[in-house]
Amino acid sequence: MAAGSTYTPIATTTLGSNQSSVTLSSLGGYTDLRIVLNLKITAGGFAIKPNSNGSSIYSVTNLRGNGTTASSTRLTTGDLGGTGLYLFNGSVSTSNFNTVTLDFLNYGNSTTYKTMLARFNNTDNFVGTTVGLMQSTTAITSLYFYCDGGGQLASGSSITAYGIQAA
Amino acid sequence: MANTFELISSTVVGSGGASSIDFTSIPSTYKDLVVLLSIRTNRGGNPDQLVVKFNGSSSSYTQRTLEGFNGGTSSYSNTYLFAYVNGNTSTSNTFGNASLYLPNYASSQNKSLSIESATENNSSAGGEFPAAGLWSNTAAITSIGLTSTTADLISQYSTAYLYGVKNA
Repeated sequence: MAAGSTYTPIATTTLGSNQSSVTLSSLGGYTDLRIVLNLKITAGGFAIKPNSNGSSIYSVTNLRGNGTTASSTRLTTGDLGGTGLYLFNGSVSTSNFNTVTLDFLNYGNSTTYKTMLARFNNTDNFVGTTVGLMQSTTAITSLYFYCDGGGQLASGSSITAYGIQAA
Repeated sequence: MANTFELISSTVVGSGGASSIDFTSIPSTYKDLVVLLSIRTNRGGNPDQLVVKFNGSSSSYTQRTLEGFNGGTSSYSNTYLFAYVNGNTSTSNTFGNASLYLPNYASSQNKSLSIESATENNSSAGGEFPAAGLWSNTAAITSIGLTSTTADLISQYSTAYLYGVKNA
């Protein structure tokens, strides 16, 4: 990672109460985007919609280990519909915060589809990594975080977006 | 612009090796901590586990690891925190790479962290090991200790860097 002013906090929030969603906006202006979450959710799964786009343009592949076995899941646009970039579901820790990092590389261009690399740690249940694709050439300027299935992002969770400048 | 990704401390292991690497007196003025490691140990095997302890504590740790090793995959749990690093039977001059990410390390909540490690080798015994870690302790992290799980020395030229990350 770059040092100094090339690694710049763009937006940050710490939840003072449970919330159904969080949006970080005005994220443009950098080469790459890194999101760091210290996250706890109350139920359901966790997903991200760049630009709050709810169209059926998302697919993900994840690799995870639950402490006993390793497994992989593939979710296509047909599976996800407009759910967004889906990170994890089921057996989500509601007692401890989980460390999650997301990387959106070259997120500001307007010619290519956008890829996300994620590392998620459900500390009580599993460790995993996900690659996600958003089939949109629109530059990412905001991220909408929410819980699928009626859960909420729990009080005390924090989300910070860092911009990484190539020059 | 403000410097938001700052080096707090660094270690380069000298001749003769080191029994541990310790970062102490970590200030609480950052939001997150990042530890970047290039480590090899004198263990007579490969890989080795580099055990991570916070504030000198030996209890209340859990870790779930996803392993890709020698072409196979597995997952397992442990009651201590560690990153895999190269041992002394791995290819000469080859060091394991690892990173730890600790968000909200100074908070009053239990501490969750992300651990990545890789031990490449010019034969078998190469692997990649993402892991989820938890220290069920609400104390702010003020020190980080790193030792070989087999009590072997950390080899010369190993490096460890501790960074603090601000969110404003």
